[in-house]
Amino acid sequence: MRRAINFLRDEPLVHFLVAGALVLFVNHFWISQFRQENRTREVVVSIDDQNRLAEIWRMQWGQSPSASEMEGLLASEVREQILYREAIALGLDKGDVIIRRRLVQKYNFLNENIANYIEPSQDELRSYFEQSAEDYRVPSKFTFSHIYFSPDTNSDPYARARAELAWLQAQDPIPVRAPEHGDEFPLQIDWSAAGLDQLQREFGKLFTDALSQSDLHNWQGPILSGLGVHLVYITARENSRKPDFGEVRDDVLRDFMYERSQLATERAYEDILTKYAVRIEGDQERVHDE
Amino acid sequence: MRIRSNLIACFITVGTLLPQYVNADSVAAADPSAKARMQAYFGELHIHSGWSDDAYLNGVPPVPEDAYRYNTGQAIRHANGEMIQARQPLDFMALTDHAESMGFTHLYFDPNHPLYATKLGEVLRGPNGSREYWGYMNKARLDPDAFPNPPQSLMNRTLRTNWQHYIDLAERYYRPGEFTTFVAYEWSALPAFQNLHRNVIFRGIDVPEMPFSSLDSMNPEALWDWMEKARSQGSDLLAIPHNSNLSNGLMFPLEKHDGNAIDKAYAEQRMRNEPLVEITQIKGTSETHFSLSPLDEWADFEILETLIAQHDKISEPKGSYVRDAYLSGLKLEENGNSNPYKFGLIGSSDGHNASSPVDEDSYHGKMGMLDGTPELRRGGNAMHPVSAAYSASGLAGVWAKENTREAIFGALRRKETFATTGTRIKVRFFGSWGFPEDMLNQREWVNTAYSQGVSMGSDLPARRSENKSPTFAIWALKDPASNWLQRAQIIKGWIEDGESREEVYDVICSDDLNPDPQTHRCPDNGAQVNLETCDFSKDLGDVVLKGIWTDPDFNIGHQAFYYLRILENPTCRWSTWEANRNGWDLMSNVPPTIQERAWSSPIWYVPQE
Repeated sequence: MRRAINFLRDEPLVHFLVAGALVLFVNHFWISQFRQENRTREVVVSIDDQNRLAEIWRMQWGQSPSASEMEGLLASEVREQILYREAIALGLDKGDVIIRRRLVQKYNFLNENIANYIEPSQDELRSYFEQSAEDYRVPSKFTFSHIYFSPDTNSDPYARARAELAWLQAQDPIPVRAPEHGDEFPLQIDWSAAGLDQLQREFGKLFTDALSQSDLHNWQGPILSGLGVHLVYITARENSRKPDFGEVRDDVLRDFMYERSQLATERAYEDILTKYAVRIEGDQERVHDE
Repeated sequence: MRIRSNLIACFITVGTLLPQYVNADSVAAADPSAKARMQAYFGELHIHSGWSDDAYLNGVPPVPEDAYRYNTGQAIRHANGEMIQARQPLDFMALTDHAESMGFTHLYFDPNHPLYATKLGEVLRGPNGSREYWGYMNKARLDPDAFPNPPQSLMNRTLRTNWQHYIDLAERYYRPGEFTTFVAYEWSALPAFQNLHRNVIFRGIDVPEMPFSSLDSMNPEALWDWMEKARSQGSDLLAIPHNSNLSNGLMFPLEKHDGNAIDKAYAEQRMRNEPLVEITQIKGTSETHFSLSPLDEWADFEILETLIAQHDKISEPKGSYVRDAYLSGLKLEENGNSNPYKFGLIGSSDGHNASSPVDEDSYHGKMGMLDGTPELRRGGNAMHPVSAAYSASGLAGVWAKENTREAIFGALRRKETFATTGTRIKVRFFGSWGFPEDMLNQREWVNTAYSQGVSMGSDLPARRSENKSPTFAIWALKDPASNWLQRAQIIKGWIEDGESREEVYDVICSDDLNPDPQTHRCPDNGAQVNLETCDFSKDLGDVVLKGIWTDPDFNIGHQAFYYLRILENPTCRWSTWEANRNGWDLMSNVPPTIQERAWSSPIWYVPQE
């Protein structure tokens, strides 16, 4: 409760709105004498509203509000609703940049916060996974040996690779690895079930693009990498595959929660946008009308 | 709350159900062939999100998770509205938001949060809010009655909640073997705009209830006291200073904070807590300054001279640069103290867009809309004239057995690390009293190097009487996505007759060239850059630079350090890429090209009594 009081005492927006409400009250008192108006206006704090207030409190303080804290929350909610409505009715929201910005900020926070803390159902998560399954693909894996021809030497690495390829193909049987051939490679010669993403870090994209196009059980090349020229012999390839939901559930949940909080603000805005006709004045007037 | 803790619990299990990674680093330490199998991993130990005040107030969204998204390869939204995505994911990361404003700033705008109703909230939401905020923060230190901070209990409650969020995020994105995350934060002391900032990195998730910030103390020694207390309570952590270049000589001082001379206790405490320094980042490179190293032709690299937010004040170079600190450390040791400056090196970006903008061809600025467009970076922001001098730099390299918290933290602790300007050059550096001349031609040479010598970050083994000069093994492999390597240099510093001395030796030249034995310089390899297209020479430079080097000027009585510097052939600087893309003239106040580079942690020689 003290928090609510401090808030009201220190908050200039509240001062502003109270002053506005006073103007309205005086206005209403006098005018209604003449108009004989007598309608009751209702302020409703629904169960959903109450849950929302309690949830926001929990997010901030890690525990549910006590009875007296809840009372304070409700009191400030009621007051805020009344003052807000009156201020809007008076047109106080129009033309004041600061107020406008604050209303917008408040709206954004409401949507983001709520979105962040509601866990999706299994079905919801699974359907999100199905829709974005491409993002979770397990990259292809390659088991291969290669022969490296360094551009650091004086002789043309391409020519040497081509000569080596001819030699290899003339052997019977054709060797599946030749670690003593070519130049010393600064990393490994033999790679076992190495993911395309890892290979791209070590060799560069030129190499992995070519590797993806290469046949199995045959010396292929010359292939260019960020480090030189290669002949490769692939003995196994696991194609890129869609993982089972269970394998990536943690990632999916993480991404779902992130994406939803990102989208909440955007979607709330788009929802509101449909209620408005937007006109941007200028030489060529652009009209967005839903 | 229940929903949330279930969520956290399910994330935590991912990290804990992997017993095979436990004590990974101690395995590597025991067995030389296990050491030889260690891999180079590249990471970022200094990145900010919109939960840092300076970032948020420049328009960066208050979403710390974006930093993890960016460095695992996802696209995120820049403050300028465009999507940004890393060229390649990183192997490890520490999100280091400022502890002083950790997730607070956006709450001053949130009517549902009690911070909204504070005096500071009111100031911040005013028409000139973000500018007045900084003045308020400074005045709050001097006159807390007139400029009250939010109530301490409220600050603490908020900080505890937010700190927990950082721990949750680090857990959520940790994938042992694929992507390592560290709980971390930045201690942001800036007395009179002199930068003393440190990033505090935790090995695991056993962390104190709240971080220790510069609001608690501006004295680094108080930070170390707090770190040691945390260690005694089960945390494992280290601090990494950065932007020593902007410290006005305070980062590597000869006096303690209280003005007394540095003593053994200070040196030992500093080394227990600060085994590393960030040598390069967006706000300049802190290796050395041309006034300190006038004979080093590469000492003018990406120098930023003006203090943070004081663009008319020059930071004093003495005491502000890494090489100078190494020399001071030797001197202190020679004078009977212990050496407080025996640190290893890493690079990191200090990007404030929840990103690591370390590639020249896709640099997108440091801090939201402060420098968020090519026009602003070119000098379009009168409030912030130094944007053009900012660098697209750097990265941290480590040698570790696997990509886990234990293994990577172990590498940081033993200083088996190197720094790069954003390129992914892999660097090995070993010292001994006699590596075989042809060692690097053996396939298993790394085994030999580990069993007969020491790796970067260590002291040379004890010298025996028959040992004449130390020998060093040098190995560097180019980044497959960057330029060819031009030369390997060893920078040696030593103390002779009480005087600091330094020498830059080119030790391996590309293209079968040899260093001149008198000048210690490689001949020019002739590599060129086309400034209009940014194409560079394709047939000059090497894939691998490697060799054995023996110090030709060794004196058994002189304390010394040796570190490695690897230079690529020149490439376009980010400012040149942007000028070309927009059809602008090249800027005259920054160089059109740079030589991307890497630095190893040093190896030290300490004479026996």
